[in-house]
Amino acid sequence: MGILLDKGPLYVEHLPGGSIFLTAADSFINWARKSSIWPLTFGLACCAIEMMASYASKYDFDRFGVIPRPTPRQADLMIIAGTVTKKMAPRIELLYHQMPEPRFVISMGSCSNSGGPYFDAYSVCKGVDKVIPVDVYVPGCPPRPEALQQGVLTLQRKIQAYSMLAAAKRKAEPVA
Amino acid sequence: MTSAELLAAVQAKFPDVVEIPKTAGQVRGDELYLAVAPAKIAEVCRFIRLDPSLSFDFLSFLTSIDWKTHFEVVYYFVSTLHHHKLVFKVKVDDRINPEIPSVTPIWPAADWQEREVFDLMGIRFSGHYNMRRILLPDDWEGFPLRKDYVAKPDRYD
Repeated sequence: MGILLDKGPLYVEHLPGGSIFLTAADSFINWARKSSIWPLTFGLACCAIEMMASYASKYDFDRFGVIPRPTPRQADLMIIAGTVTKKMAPRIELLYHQMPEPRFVISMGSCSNSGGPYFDAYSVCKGVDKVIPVDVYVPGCPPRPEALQQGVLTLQRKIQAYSMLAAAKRKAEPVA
Repeated sequence: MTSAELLAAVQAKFPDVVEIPKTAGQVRGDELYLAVAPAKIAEVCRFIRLDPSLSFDFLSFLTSIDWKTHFEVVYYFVSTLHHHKLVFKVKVDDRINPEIPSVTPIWPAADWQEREVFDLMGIRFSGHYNMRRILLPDDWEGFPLRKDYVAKPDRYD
């Protein structure tokens, strides 16, 4: 995530009041991040219908700051809504790598969690986590909009718990 | 036209086209089912498309079956002019390199359906202008709807 965020917290920690500053900065940055999760406009199968219902007025994702973006360059979140076929998997990988960090992935529904009803099919990827890392799994076939909301709220809690310092220390550790 | 009249009209031009009778207990529509030789299919199709009294202007669908010993390609025709229907079944014996003539020049609707049959069953349609996979990735090996297909696990399994 850039040299400043990778190395910066390690130096700031040793300054007087450094860790207090980092904690305050974390809580502010995380609050800003979690309050404007912009997902990529991207649906693969029937889960996408539930996802669209979540965006629409009845469930109103806008109130969480979730606004679909048409390009991966502007997106923070990728909601894998539907069956990931083997033909689609490399495209998903490409889209994921086009998103700027920090990026998050919600796997929505049985198909993208594990292959679901298509587990025995020759053409279906057995879970999107074979291709990209997943932050939150939402079970269901398809999950109701409430379940996806729960997934987004879980992701918000995960983002709020993020610590720049801990991440910088993780990255600084030599790879075994 | 009734089934008997259709049969007579087709057999007048192509005597080796025979009817496939309905067997006892078989669930099947009342359409006329005809067995056509693979080499003749494009010729017979051109005839039933252009003949004014037959005028099969609509290819409803085109599909294929793997009977383990041989393949069968099925054509289902409807005439929007005369409101009669006709089914062609073509037996393809060669399992190694199955190939029959394409009907895409006669009905453009056959284009993607012939590609689908090629993609999943591996039957080539000679004379098709773009005979390549339509659904599966271009680098896919094998034809998954064949009965002897064995799926090879890859990095997505």
